[in-house]
Amino acid sequence: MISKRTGIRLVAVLSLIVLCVYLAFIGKEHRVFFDNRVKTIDGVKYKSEYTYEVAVLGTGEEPEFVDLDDMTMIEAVGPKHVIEISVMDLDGEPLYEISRNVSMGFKTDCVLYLPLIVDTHMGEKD
Amino acid sequence: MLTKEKVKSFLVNQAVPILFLIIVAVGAPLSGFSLQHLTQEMTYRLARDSFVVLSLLVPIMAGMGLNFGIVLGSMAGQIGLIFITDWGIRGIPGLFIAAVLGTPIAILLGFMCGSILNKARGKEMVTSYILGFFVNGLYQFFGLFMLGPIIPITKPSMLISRGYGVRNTVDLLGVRGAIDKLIDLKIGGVSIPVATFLLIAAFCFFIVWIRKTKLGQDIRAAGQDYELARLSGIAVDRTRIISIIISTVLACYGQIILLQNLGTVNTYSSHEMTGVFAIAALLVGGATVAKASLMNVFVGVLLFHMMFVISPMAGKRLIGSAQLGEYFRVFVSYGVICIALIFHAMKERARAQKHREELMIGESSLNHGGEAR
Amino acid sequence: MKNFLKKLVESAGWARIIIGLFLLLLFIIAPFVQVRLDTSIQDVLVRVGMNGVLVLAMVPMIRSGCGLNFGLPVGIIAGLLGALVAVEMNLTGLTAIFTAILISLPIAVLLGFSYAQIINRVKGSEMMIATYIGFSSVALMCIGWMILPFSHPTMVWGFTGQGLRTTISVADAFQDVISNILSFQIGDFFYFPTGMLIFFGLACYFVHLFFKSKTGIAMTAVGKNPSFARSSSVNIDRMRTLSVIFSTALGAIGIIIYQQSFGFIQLYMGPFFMAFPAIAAVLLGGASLKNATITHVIVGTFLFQGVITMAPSVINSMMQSDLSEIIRIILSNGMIIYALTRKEVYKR
Repeated sequence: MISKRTGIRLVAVLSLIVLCVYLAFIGKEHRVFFDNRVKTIDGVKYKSEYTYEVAVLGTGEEPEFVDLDDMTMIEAVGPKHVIEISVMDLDGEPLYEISRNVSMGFKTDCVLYLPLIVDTHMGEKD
Repeated sequence: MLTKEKVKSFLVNQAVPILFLIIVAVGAPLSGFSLQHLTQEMTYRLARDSFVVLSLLVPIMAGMGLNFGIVLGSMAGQIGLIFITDWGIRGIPGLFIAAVLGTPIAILLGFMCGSILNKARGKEMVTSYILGFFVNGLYQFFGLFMLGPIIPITKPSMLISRGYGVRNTVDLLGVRGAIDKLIDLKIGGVSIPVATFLLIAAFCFFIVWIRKTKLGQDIRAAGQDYELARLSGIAVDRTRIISIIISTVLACYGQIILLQNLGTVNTYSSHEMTGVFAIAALLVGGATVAKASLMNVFVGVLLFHMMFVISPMAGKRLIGSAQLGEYFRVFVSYGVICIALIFHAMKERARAQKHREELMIGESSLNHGGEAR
Repeated sequence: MKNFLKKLVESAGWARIIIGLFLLLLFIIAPFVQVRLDTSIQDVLVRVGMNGVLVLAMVPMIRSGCGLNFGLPVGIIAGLLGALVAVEMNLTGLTAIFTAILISLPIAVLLGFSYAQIINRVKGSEMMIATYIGFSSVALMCIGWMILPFSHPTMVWGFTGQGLRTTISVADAFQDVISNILSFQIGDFFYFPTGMLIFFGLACYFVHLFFKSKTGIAMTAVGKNPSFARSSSVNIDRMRTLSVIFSTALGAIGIIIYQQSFGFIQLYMGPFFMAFPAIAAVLLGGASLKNATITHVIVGTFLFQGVITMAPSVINSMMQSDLSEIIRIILSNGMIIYALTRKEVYKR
C-alpha cells in the first residue's frame, strides 16, 4: 500500500497542478476580434451596414471604432469578458447598444462577427 | 573594545568591500547621475538581483564553495518563462506557473550538478564552472532545435525566422513588473517594489530557518569537515547534493524575479551573466568561499551594482570614453572574484600550515616529555 | 586477440576510443553527404597545426602539479603584443614572425613570472584562480588595447574611435608564412601546410627533450611526488615558477602560429575563452590533472580538432542547420568535466 508520506506528497503535487490549471484559466490572455467585413457564411451573404464602437470592459482600453468592411482586435486577460458594442449608423450616430458576456477559458482567440450579432442578437462565431 | 588589532583584522578581512566603497564613493559623483536616479536604480536592482545571490549561500555552508552551477537554475527558470509567454498567461498567475514549470527542471539539473560535483571533490568550483558551460550547450540545443519541432510552441512570433527554434529575445510584456508593481510604494519619488522585497525577506527567513533544522546542521557539518561529518553518521554526499538542489531551485526563482523586472529575456545569454554577476556581487559584499552571510548578499549587490551603473558614465567623464568605463567594470567584476579567491586560498593554506605546525609542536613536546630523564 | 583489445582499451581509455570511432565514422559518412574528403582532411591538418602549440602549452604546468593552465590567456596576451609590434614595424614574412616571437618571449617570461607568484601561493586552488587570472588579464588588456600607443593604419580605428581595432588582419604581414614553408598543393582542394606541421613537430620534440633533461625530470618529480622532490633538494616553488613561465611562453608562441594561419589578430574579448579548447584537447588525448605527455598532446589535438571540424560540417550537410557552435561547446566542456571527475588511478 502507499505509505502515508507518499500519499501526502501525491496530494500536494496534485493540488499544485490543479492550482496551476486554475491560474492559467484566470491569467490567460485572449484576443477578441471584431469583424465587420463583407462575408459569406453558410451560403448567406452578409453586408456591412453599420459602423460600431466596441470595447471590452476591464481592460482599461479606449473603445475601438470599427468601420465598414474593417476589423479590429482588443486584447484582454481573464476567464470572462463583458463586451459592449455600440451600433452606429453611417453618420456616426449611435443607434443602440448591445452588451455580451463571453466566457473564454483556455481558448486564445475569439471572433465576433458584428453583422450577424446585429441581425440575430445572438450570432457568435469562434 | 576597539583595539588596533581588531581594527586591522577588520580592515584586512573586509578589504574587498572597503575597496569597492571607495570606488563607488569616488565614482558616483563623477558619473553625474542624480541621487534620485541612483536611488531608484539601486532599489530596483536590489529587488531584482538579491534573490539569485541568496541562492549561493547554501552551497557555501556545505563547503562546496561558489556554486557556478546556479546558471543551471537560471536556465530552468527561463524555460518556464518561455512556456508561459507562449501560452499567453499573464501577471502573477503566469510567473507562478513559470516557477512551477521550472522547479522540476531545476531539481533535475541540481541533482545532476550535485552528483558530478561529488565526483570532483576538491575541485568543485572549476567543475561547476565548466558544467555551467556544458549545460548551456545542451540548453542552446534544446532552445534552437527542440522548441518548435518537438516541443510545440503555439506562437509563431516566438520562433526564429527559419521556422523552428526560439528567438534570441523574447518579450515578457505579459508578466513585466508583475511582482514589482503588485505593491508599489512611492517614497520621495522613488518607486519601491514592496512585493518583491517581501518575497526576498520570506526567503531570507527560509534560509535562516534551514540552518536550524537537522538538514541545516548536516549541511554545516559537511561544510566544516567532510570526513568528520561522514564518521558522525551524516550522509554527506546526499547532503551535498541536496544543498546544490536547493541552490539551483532558488536560482530558478531568482532568475524569474530578475526577468520579470527586466521585461525581456535574452534566451541564449541572460543566464550566463547572471551567474558571474551574482558571484562577483557576493564576494564584493565581503563573503568568502567558506563563509557568507545575509549581510554580504545585500551589501554586495548594492556595491557591485552601483559600480556597474556608474562605470560607463564615470569613464566617459574621467577619460573621455564610455567604452573604457565598460571594460573597467568587466575587469573589476572578474578581478574582484580573482582577488577574493586568492585571499581565500592563501588564508586556507596559512590555516592548514598553522594546524600542521601545532601538530608538530605537540609531537615534539611529547617527545621531549618522553626523552626527558 | 581478446587480450590485445583489452590492453588497448585500458591504455587508451574509453573516452578516446569512443571519440576516435566517432571521428572515423564522420570521415566515412562525409563523402555521402557531399562533404569533400580532401578538403576535410586539409582543414583538420591545418587546425591541428594552428592549435598544436597552444595545447603543448598545457604540458609543463600539468607535469609540475599546477593543474590545467586555465590562465593561458596570459601567454596569449604576450604573443599578441609581439605580433602587434611586428605589424606596427611594418614587417612581413618570416622576419615578422620571428620578430613577433622574439618580442613576445621576454613579455611572456615577465608575465609568467608574476602569474607564477600567485600560483605558488595558492597551492590546491590553482585552476580556479588561474581561470580568473586569465579573465582579469583579458579584461585589463581590453583597457590596454584602447590606450596603448600603436599607430599603424591597419591596426587602429580611423576617425571613429580610439585604440586598436578588435580584429586586425595580417593578410599582408605574415599570413600563412610558416604554413607555406615546404607546403604543397594537390589539385584545387588540398593544401598541405607542411611548414606549420613541421613547426609543431619541432616544438613537441623540443618539449620532449626538455623533459628528459635534468630540469625537466625535476619538474616532473615536483608534480608526481613532491616529498620525494623536496628530499632530493629540488626547490619546488622554483620548478613551479619555471613551469608556469614555460607554459606562458609556449602560449605566446602558440598564438602567433595560430594567427599566421587564421589570418587575424583577435584582441579584446577574443582570447577570453581560448584556454578551454586547448584544455579539452590535451585531456582528450589522455592527459590527467597530474600527467601529460607529448603523445597526449598530439593525439588529443588531432582527435579534438578532427571532431570539431568534421562533426559540424557533416551534420550541417545532413540536417541543413548550424550546430557547429553547440557541438563545440558540448564536446569541449564535456571532456573537461569527464577529466575533472575521474578518480586518479595510480599506475606504477
